[in-house]
Amino acid sequence: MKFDIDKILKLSMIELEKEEKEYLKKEMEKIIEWVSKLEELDIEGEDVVFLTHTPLREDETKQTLQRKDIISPYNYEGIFFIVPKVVEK
Amino acid sequence: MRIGELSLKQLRELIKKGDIRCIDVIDDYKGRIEKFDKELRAFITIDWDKVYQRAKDLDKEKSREGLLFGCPIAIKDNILTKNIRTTAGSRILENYIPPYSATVIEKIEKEGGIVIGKTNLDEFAMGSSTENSAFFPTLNPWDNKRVSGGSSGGSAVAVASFMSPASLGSDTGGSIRQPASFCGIVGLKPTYGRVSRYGLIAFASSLDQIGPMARNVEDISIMLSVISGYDCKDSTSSKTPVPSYHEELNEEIGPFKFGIVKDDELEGVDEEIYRAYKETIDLMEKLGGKKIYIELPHLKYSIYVYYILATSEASSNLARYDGVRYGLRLERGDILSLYQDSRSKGFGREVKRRILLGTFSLSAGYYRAFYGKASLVRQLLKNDFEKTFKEVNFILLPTSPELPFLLGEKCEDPVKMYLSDIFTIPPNLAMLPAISIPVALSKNNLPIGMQIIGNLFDERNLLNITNLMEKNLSFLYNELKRRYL
Repeated sequence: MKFDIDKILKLSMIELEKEEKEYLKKEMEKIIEWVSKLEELDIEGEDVVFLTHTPLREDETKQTLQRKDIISPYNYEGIFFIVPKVVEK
Repeated sequence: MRIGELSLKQLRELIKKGDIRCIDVIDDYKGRIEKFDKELRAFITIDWDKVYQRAKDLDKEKSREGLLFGCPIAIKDNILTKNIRTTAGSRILENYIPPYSATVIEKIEKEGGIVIGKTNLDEFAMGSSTENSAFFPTLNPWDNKRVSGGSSGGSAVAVASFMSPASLGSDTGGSIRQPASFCGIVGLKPTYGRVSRYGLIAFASSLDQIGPMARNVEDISIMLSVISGYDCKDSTSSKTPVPSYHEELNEEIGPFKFGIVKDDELEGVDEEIYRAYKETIDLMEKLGGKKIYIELPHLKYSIYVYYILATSEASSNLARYDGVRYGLRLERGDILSLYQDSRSKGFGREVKRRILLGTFSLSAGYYRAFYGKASLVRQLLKNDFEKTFKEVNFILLPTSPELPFLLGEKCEDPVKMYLSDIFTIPPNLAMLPAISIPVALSKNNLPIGMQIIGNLFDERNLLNITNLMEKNLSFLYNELKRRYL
């Protein structure tokens, strides 16, 4: 099992110091080996029916939280959240 | 009469009669919190001004109706409380003030309950000892060199040390039951869907459930009556009717069957816990139960299934902490660094570990072998339980394979820490209700809890049987009363 920590970190939007990265990589390899015990269970031919579904509700207008109550002023302007510039000139 | 030892029902009745005021109750609890919480550290946030304001408002009410009228309730700090800081035990939400309250909080307040404070937890409820809290660990009230259990450790300790008569926790893989067991109190994880999770900070949405913790089964039943029920704001909450759990508590349950597991399923269980398991079997037989050995062929895989599914869901749920809308916001001038810096500095090590494992399990090339297979095996485990509950009314398992462990003992070995959830995880995967009640003390005076699992939405019988069982176990609290009351 190859654990490509750089790829997973990128997907997770997390950055680590070099030492911490080495440490976590080793740990993750141990944990992945541990959960891989699931592989020994043969489920070929098992007839599995999933009983989950997404419940739906009527599409009705209801009173919800007001925008002014849920935003924090420090990262908000007008009706927008403020983020660093994402487009090049 | 000492206010601290009164049950929820006794408190409410004395307040209704006018014998004591809500404010007297708060004074009494505040005294103990000030005395003991410096050391035990059950609470992250207490806003005494708000608590007293609420008590004063309640004292002015004429009708004094409500199942929790005047009762202080401690709340795990991953449950949102309007205008009271809610951190989830994380730096990333260290200064987060929610603009709304969770449905369970609204229900508690509607019944006259007083939110007394927000309790410590492992960061985002990920852990079994509260040592993953970004702020501090909560100590065990029986032995302060030991952990309180987790993740709802603060809620368990608040109740065990008489700093609150009852509390709310959340349980994804044992986070209510294991700390209840470690602290010698009662903790219930209700059926998935029984209680609305609107306003619970999500960890693993197909497993998370809010539930009550208290010092006796009757108080648990009152709390469950209050917080249960369908909520249009949580589409996974169930429309199954809610019985009046506390009013039906003392009804006859008649002869019943309960499932137990063979000794090889209990391999590695602490000797004293093993003995307590056998004694609990005897007790249940004395109460009219017939024991049946059960087989759950997929039980031994549940811990792997859990750590794949829970981390996969967590990696998705925690993607919302991006520094944009709320929570910690750090950046170096570009959008990528906004996400990365906020998350890297905001999350602690265990949370990162779980996000990485979950991201890996869901990633291209590994999805089928990890997330896909774990989902299938979860369904097989559910089928095992469904079959078993055609034969039995309850299943008895230890809550934890071990006694409360020492602080720091497992911090360096995550797999060891994960294994402490081995008996509590299966009910979450199968969505079943399960309760932990204290049954014995070890020779070193540490509490031992047993777990009784019920059939889906059969909390009523689960509470009835444990209510009978605990009648023989009242000796347990004498030591805690001597120390903390």
